Amino acid sequence: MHLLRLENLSVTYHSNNGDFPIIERLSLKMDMGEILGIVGESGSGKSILALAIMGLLSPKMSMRADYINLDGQDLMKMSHAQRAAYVASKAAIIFQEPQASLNPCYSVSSQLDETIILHQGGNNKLRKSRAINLLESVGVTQPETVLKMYPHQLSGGMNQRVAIAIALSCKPRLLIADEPTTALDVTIQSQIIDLLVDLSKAEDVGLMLITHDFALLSENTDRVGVIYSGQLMEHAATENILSCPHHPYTKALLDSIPQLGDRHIKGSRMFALEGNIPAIDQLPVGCRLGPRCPQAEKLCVKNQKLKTIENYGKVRCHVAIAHSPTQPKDKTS
Amino acid sequence: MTKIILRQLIIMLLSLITLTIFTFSLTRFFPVDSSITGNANVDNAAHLFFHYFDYLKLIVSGDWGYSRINGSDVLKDFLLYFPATIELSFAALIISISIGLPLGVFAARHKNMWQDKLIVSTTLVGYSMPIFWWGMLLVLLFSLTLSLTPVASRIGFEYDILPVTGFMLIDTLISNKPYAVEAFFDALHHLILPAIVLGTIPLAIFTRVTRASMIEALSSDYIRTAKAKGLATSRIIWVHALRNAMIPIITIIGLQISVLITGTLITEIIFSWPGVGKWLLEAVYRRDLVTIHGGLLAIASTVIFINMLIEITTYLINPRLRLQK
Repeated sequence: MHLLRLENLSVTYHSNNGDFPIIERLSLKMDMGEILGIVGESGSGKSILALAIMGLLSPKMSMRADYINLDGQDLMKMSHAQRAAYVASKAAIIFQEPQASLNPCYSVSSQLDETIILHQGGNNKLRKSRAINLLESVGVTQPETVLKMYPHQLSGGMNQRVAIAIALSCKPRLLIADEPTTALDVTIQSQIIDLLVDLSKAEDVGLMLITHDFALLSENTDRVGVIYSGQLMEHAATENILSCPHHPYTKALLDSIPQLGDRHIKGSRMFALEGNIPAIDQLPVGCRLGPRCPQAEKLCVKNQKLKTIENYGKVRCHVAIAHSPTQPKDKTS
Repeated sequence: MTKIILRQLIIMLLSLITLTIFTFSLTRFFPVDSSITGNANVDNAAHLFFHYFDYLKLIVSGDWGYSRINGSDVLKDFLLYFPATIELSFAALIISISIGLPLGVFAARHKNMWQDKLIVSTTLVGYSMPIFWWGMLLVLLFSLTLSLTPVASRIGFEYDILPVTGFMLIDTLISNKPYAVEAFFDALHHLILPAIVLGTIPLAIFTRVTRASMIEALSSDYIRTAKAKGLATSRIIWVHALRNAMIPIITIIGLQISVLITGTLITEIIFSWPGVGKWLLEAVYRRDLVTIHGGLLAIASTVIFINMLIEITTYLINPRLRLQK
């Protein structure tokens, strides 16, 4: 039984100059309690994917999909209001800027309370104890004090904890974290990621961790999806991707992680893929990575299809598939 | 909270002192009244200082001099006319807020659609409307052509209402005449057209400010969070977005109250409304400097007082200001 199954999800941006695809025919599966990492550079459409699942796209965007199956129900078959209510009860999302994603005019208790009213209910006393429990579960040491405070009085890490508590108050089956640590400093980053992973394991909640930081994913995720320019380029188990990445883009991403200590070769420069992600109105013909790809060849001008490699995962690159080692190093997936 | 109120009171006091220094200087430049200016032939700075305190004493004790035209007490005159101005200004304010705010929210929710464009262009017309022309036009249409509203004054002459509070709407109700309720509605009937005329520009301003402020609030991250929480749309709009959008709106409302009270002049002339504006204009025509001095002092003090109230309201509504350490 899958927690989330997307089939051919496309998001289109409607501008004055015409319609542009932001996400193109993206299919994805998540198991119950799975931790899935979504990685890609800025502008690749990873945040839009999260917003599309949550139904939070701006009015200038529209989405299509064969189905979006969340915890056994197809979202595409529901009316707008039905869908909003269902998604809010099954899934929750945490955003990048914790300070900005909480309402500055209301205290923590009132922002936490309104979701508790919506999803759990209970009288004043019960709701307050629930709020305190939630804050304790996200590692807030003085929940009573924090409840009375306003977002601007709390630190970024504390605000992100409050945001996670709010997200948890609907008892979600799927938790989407859209770059939850980008705005935080490094020590708080690891605390927040550990917290999310622990919560996911303790309550069997599926966690979709969206980031551009491969290092963050390597330790914590079960599977990784690599998105480039709105397409899923590679989707495989984390160990597989780390041990033998197939797609040139994934390789480039992994090579661009700075190495510290013994692994750092003195005097070496960090690898960087040349060029930029293609603009939405200037997509290249064929493979989206084509113009930047170090391994590009003639056939790359043809559209690339996502193909399954036995015992590995899915890859969208004919060169990688052709050169795939017949015996992948790791078969545990 | 007490600290904030105390601070605002001190700021108000300082503003009032600055104001009295200004009005006192005016009395030195123009022959206002010997009862206020004292001996005008003093050029010693120390004497000037003592004269200022004498002046302050008179102002505080309520002796604002006597009109040069009819010899009546200026402060008493002001207090007689002021309630009419307040009544008109607040009626205009209530009309403009109660229409402007929802209209602005509506426009923000339909941003760049035809409803929004219609509202934005209409408010631009309203904002640039010359009030004297607009007022006469409405009188021509509603009073003279359609006979829907009275042409002028605060109440029909068939009702004999004694001024107690000075507010006609209250005075009619507390008078123990048999026609109290009818008189109330008649006063309301007289109030409506001048209030609409006076409220036109603030209405346009409030609509535009609310729209801009609401668009900003609605596009913010916390609204996205509120949507993700699964809250009802009405709650997102009226609770989460409006509270944040209100912060700039309150400031603009405060500025507009001052504009309304000082700017009732034209409307009061058009509708023969016996308010401060009409009273002051007549004083200007007659070179009644004592009255002008008193009116200036009183209206400026009112504006300072209202600004203080608005500041305190802003503190109440915005926790980021309220909870600063």
